Amino acid sequence: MLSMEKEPIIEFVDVKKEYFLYKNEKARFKAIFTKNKGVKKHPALKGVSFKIYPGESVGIIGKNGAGKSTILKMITGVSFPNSGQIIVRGKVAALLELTAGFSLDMTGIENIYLKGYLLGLNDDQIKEIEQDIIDFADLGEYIDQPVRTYSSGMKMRLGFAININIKPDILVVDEALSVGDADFQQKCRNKINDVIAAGVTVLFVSHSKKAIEETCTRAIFLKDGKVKVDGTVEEAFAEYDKKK
Amino acid sequence: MEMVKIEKKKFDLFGLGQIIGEHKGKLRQIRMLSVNELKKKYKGAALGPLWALIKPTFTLFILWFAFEIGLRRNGGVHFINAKYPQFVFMLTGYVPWFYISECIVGGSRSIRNNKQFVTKLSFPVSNIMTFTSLSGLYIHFLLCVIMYIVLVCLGYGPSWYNLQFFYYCAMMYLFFLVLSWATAPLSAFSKDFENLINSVITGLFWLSGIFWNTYDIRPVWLQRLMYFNPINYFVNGYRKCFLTDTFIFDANYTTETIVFFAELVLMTFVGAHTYKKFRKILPDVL
Repeated sequence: MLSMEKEPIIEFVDVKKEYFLYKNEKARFKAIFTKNKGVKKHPALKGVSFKIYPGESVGIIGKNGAGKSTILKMITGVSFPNSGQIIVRGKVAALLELTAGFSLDMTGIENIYLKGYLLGLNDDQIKEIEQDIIDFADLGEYIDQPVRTYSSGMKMRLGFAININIKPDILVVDEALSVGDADFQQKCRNKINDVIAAGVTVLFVSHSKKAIEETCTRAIFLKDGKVKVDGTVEEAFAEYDKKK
Repeated sequence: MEMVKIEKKKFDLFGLGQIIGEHKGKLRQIRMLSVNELKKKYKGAALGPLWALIKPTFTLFILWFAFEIGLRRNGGVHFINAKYPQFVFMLTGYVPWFYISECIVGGSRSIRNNKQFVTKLSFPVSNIMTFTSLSGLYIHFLLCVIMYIVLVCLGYGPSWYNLQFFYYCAMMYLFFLVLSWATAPLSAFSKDFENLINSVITGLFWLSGIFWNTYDIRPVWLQRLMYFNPINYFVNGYRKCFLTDTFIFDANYTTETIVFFAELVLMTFVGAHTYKKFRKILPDVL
């Protein structure tokens, strides 16, 4: 670990999360009045603890349903644990839901501001990065058109450009991320690598050992809502491959 | 070993502190999203925002036709101090009602309609209710201006009492906002609750004094019971500022005012408490 003296930038302390499984809409309506009594629960996280320090690049691996997305959603502040504690010290840029929060009826420029506000920036901070975003998204005249006229690739490009340019402290990347054509995809990879080189903390979700080895020095292997291995990429994948 | 930090329990009155905290520094965001809400509603139609006027005008005309021509109630309605033509009486009742109904229905749907803010972003969810009701308020202001012009042309006002509009309007905004703090999370959680609200709304229309005078009904206990319907407070309040020139805190209506404020305070806490209770599970159920 790089710097044990420093405060961890992300800290999970015995985080547990359960999802309620309602049989049908009727059960759900009833639950309003009965405080979820007798409703089946699905444990997604069964006490997860880890610390991530500033500047670390950590890969998160695990099969579908192991709790990866739940953890990411908690780091980005979308979802909340049932018990335990989560501390995130810094601005998070998640390259997961790139187009979330876009208004289809506003222009590209207006959406830069809207999304900027949603990510917690003020007018001055947005103005500062506006041109970088426009240049990176490279949408030409379309930047002044309503986003509903964009192709899905163009929306992604704008979304990526905004998220990567907000000067995050923590970057959450899903490898399955696809942003338009091969050229732009490469441009995004380069940009991500630039941001990583600048010393941002990275969480990288992937199934590919090669991709994780390239960027990460540490990996966390999740299995059935628990941390199975927290160590080097080598150690984590040894365990991960064993179970296949 | 690890010390588990225990989150300091902040002073949070039934969740009211949380909601106020969620609004700090979010003014621009709320304004932008409220305008966006309007765009979303009226986009694509050739007449666009004109529909915001056509719908209430049309309904008002139908109601007027049914009452004045159909039921031949053309003698007008007695209200507080004088007799008013059916049309004038209904106009002053229907304009606030139109806002109220949009607010009750739209407010309860607001979280579900803005799902992406809850499930994909770290967003202060209570802002959704604020910008939704704010977008309705823009339309309401427009309708009020038109209503005022019509009233002045017909010889009602201008008068200093007209300024009381700002009090009633602010209270109306506030009341239906805090109501949506409760209805929106519940409707997001269960679609049945949303349907329940939609079914109640028509009943509310006929039970409130939109086109009849709630101060005139007998027996007296029933008349008093009407005080508990906050819609009457606003509908009659608008008439007090535009027609009868009655002061907000007029001694004859003290009971009604006290009942309203009690309901407002109660609803604020019920709303904030419900919101707090549901906030953290909303991303999982939507």
